Amino acid sequence: MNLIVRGLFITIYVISLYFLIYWLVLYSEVRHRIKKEKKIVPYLRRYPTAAILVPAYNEEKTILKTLKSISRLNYPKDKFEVHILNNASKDRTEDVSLEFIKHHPELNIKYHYIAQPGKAKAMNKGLSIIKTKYFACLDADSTAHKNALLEMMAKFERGNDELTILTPVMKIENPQTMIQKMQRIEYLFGAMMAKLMSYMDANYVAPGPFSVYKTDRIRELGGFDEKSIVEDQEIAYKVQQKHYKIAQCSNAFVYTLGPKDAKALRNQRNRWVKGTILTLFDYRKLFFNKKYGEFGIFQLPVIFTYYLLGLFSLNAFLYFTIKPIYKLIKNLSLINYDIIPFIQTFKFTFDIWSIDFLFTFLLNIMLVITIVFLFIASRTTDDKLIKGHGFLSLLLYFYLYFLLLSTVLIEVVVELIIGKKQRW
Amino acid sequence: MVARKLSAKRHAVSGIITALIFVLGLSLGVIYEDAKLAQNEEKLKNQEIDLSSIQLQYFYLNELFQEDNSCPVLTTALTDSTEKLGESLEKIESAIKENTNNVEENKRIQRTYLQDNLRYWMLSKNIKDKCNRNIVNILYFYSEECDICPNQGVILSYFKKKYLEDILIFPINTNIEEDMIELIKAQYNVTAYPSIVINGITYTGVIEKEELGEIICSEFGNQTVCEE
Repeated sequence: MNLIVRGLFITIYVISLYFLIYWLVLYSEVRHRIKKEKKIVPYLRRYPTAAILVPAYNEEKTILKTLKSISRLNYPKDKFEVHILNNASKDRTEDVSLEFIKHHPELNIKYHYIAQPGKAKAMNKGLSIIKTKYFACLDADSTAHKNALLEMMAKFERGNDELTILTPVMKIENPQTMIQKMQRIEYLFGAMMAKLMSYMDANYVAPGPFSVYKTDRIRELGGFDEKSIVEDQEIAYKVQQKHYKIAQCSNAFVYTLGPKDAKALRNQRNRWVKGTILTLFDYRKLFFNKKYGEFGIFQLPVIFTYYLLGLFSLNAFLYFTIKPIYKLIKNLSLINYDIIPFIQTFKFTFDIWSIDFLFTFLLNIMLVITIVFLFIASRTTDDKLIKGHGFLSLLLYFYLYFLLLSTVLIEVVVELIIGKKQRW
Repeated sequence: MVARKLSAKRHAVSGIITALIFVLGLSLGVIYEDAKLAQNEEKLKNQEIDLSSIQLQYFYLNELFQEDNSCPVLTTALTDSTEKLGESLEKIESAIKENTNNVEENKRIQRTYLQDNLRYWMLSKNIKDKCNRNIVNILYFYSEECDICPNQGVILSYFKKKYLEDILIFPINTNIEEDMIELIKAQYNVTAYPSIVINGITYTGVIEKEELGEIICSEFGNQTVCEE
């Protein structure tokens, strides 16, 4: 490998290592607070009012489960209302919703049809109707734990006025396929990161499944951006820009159905990655800007570096896997694919003296830190890292998942350059 | 609006830890490279001992036996040693490519290897005559700047794998400054790379698998190795 490429790789590895170590240092500072927060029993003297917005686009198969999880919420029925926001669905979402409403007279639940597509439009429509102090968004492919709303409300009432968004701990619901199992690990890691970000006011996303917002504050900020393809990120940036607070509520769990196969995951991530890049670009003035605290100095560069690392790891994969395979095929063609002499004399040798030491060293340190984080994450989110899910998904997560997302990243970069329209 | 907090201390601590890990990696890397070089030198020394051992055997044979009864032992020792030499030469070359410090030391190691290689080549020529064995000796000239040379290398190692002890290949890296190379090049009229010399005849350019196979088989003469 030539010196410039090696230098670039090592630079990006050292920066990534710095970020990981920063998180580790932060964790060692706040771990007692994390434990303490987990033990708090939610208590409310007065139950504040809340609205749950359920934006739905062609969700006939999953919306019933979502609504059922709402009906089971451990919260006074007269203190929350539900708004189903049918986002111009073409399937039976309407019938399923109305049927549910008929069978649940105890719930204060309304159905709205919004002719224009786009989740942000639906959310803004909901925002214009409600009169409650707080509102939550629950995507119609997700289900909330029965205590989620209670936990959120209690944390909101404990917190100060600047607290604007509370995010849940997201988990992949009943992962079946390998793709879902890998997402499970990713979400585990993500939940840990979101927790840590809460302690330095650096959360950059309010996930669609069951983030809870302070109604007046979101109105004051002008609601959701209808032009953004990732309105749940855009709103978080907006909140950060105005120096309000976003935090994760450790005991509010929400379960979401991750895409089942690689193709569905690719479509989802294509939108996320593109949205992230565009949002990052829109808010570029916050980059390395001390005024925005760790959000500007640390978190935004982290996202940027993470993507850079994605591009690099794909390159590394091509360099270390595809190139040798290409060379092998070329060499085989020289000897007319007569490999019998090689098989007959084959002996497996691993030369310990053939590795790039610094490279391997840095990569392994990062791998170890990531695994440590995963263990911590599995403990703080009451999940198991390996037990019941198999070791394979963990292994593949490290080997293949990054690669899969890196290809999406390259796809997105290409699409952005040639200016392709976003598909939903 | 209140100014947001930045934890300078936390950044400093993380920075220091990262720097320490990086420095640790660098230092261990240097130790690793040193150990690698020492390993290479040790291999080279072992190679030299092997070389003097086989030379000793040759002289012993030359002095005491006019008959062929020591030939099997001698040829086995020769093929073993050339194989070992070839393997460590490959490793040394890749090690040298990566290790850009210590250029002078590397040159010295390469040169010693080359001389060893040439000694073996001469020895194998003598053994071939003395023992009346149909070993095919191939001198393989290449240079580091030549892009197509690795192709010839692949084809040569294919035949080495195929005929094992019946073929001896002596790779000559012409980038090494060694007067002996010039001498042999002049003798066999080698002007471009890759070039191979088989039984005194020079072939220039990449010799394809089929053609080289025929050349090698004709060298074997009436032996049955080629008839499959």
